Amino acid sequence: MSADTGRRDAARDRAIGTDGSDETNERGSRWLGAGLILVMSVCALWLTVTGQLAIYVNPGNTPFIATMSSIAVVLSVAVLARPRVRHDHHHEHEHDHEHEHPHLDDLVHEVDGSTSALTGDPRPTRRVLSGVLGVATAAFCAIFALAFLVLPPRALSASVAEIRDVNGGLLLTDATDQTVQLAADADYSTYGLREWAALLRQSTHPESLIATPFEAIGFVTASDESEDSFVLTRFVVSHCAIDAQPVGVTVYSPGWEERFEVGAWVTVDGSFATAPDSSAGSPVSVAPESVDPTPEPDVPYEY
Amino acid sequence: MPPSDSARATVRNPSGSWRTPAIGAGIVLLVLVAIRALSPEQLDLPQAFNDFFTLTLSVLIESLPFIVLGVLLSILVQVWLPAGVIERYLPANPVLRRACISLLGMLLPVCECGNVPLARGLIMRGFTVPESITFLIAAPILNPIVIVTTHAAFGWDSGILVWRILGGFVLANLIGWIYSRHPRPTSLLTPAFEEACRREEHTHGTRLGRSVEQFQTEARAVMPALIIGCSLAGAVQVLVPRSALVALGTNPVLSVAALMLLALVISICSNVDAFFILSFGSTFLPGAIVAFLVLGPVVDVKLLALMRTTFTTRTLTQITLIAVLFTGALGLVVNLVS
Repeated sequence: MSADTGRRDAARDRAIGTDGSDETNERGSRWLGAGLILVMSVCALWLTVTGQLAIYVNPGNTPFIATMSSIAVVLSVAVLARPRVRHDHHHEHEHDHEHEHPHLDDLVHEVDGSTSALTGDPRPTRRVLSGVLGVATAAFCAIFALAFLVLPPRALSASVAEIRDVNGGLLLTDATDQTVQLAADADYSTYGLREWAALLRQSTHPESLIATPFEAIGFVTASDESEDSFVLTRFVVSHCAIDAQPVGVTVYSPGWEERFEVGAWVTVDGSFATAPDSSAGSPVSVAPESVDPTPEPDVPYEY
Repeated sequence: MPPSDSARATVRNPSGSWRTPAIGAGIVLLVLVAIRALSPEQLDLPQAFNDFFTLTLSVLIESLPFIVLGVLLSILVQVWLPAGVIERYLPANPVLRRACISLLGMLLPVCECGNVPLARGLIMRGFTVPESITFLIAAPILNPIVIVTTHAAFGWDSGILVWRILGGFVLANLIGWIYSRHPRPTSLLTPAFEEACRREEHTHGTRLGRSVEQFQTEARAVMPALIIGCSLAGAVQVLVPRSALVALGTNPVLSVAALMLLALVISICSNVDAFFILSFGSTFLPGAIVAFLVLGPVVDVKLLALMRTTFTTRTLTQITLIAVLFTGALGLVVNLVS
């Protein structure tokens, strides 16, 4: 055995400690891998079963997520159910690699890349820092998993809509190009806010929509262009909430701030009319016959 | 050399005693379901925290199935595929070999998250570090799902699809070639992963047992990094106004920089990033969109956290720098010619 190997052994022995701490490390290692996947997968399946997965991802992805989460649950349970193997640490170094299970110290190194314990790095400060970082990472992950487990699912709020700039993107995919059309015989009854917003944005003559009936559910955001108007807004999600883009239609409703808070869900019933406020960005806005508070829909986004 | 008596593992639970831990794992599963079922339906938390947590979970839930798929493919190439099955079809010439490896994503279509465990599996199987890096960078772009979705979003408009495929291929092989000149490529790996590779070389047991063990190893490495990466991505979404980036859209140079920055922070899956960026198509120039579509699958905050399980900080800094410079130049060229 070389001197270098001896130093590594000594460092490893220090890192491993007694058999008791080895078992603790092994158990921690299982939980920080398989345990985390198990918690995440159980939560994903729970959201799937209760129909709440749509708060986070496009429902089109549900079969894939449910399938892979089920596989992950089975494999995680297999890892946790696997009989624990204890090794005698007084063996020769050549068999160190036969440790069947990694140690919490390994996690520390995988998180921060420190080499101290396994290589006998003499820098104690770095060892301490890497240890602290490893423990902090483990604690953060544990708290995160617990939060995922117990906190109720929540859709994105109006604050995100304001950060992301309502109608900042056009959202004219092939699908909407085919369904959104400005024509005398167009069927607008199935239009959501996504289609209305796209139609208003892409049309060179939005005035032709005047007197067209409008009814939609959305949440209230302030209009940048008119104090007497608010924007009836929904998020459109292509894949998951991270790509959610707010789209909306301007509703002329003087004094709306006294009746509704930003973020409140409302049903607007009315028709398109010439925008009374000349400062508004669009020549057309919705003239509402009624604006009624409504509960947040179970599926708060459009897809 | 046969192990000495003292070197033999002392098995506390011999092979037949799966019952107790299995019952324990089953109880754990039931407890998790019960906690989830009994958790409150309403909880008054600050709106900013709710948004951060929802955004973080959305990236995590989106990534998790790809991570599991990547781990399964990693187990497949490490444990179940006999030696030489992949290797026999690869050319001996290193450049051609890396070029072929950069197309492996056509056979193993996983997005960038799942490619991390798969790339780790390839190294453990015996691929060189530069070859694995080439695969890691190319596969999220050069795979059938990404090509189909990019075509569905842009068709052949402005050559965005062609530029994306070519850009991904050249960038992956450029970085692979650079690291193939490295005198000691294994120094690009974290010591812990190096150690894991050494341990893997001497692993014994049934294939099923090794598969379960490999699942544990990869889950342990990837899950903490995934949670941290997703949390970073979620936090950035809440803190950075996107309108500030969109305002730069029509400038030929700044538009490229803006969408590259967006690619770095948004951490969106390469399978669907084309649909996302399509909505900015009228605001940004084609070069900026190409830069977004090439850079995003190679480096972003979530992916860097995942890659950190395998590569040193120095290596990741170099890869990021090369990728940013390359995609920036690519974006400017596309803006000039389109």
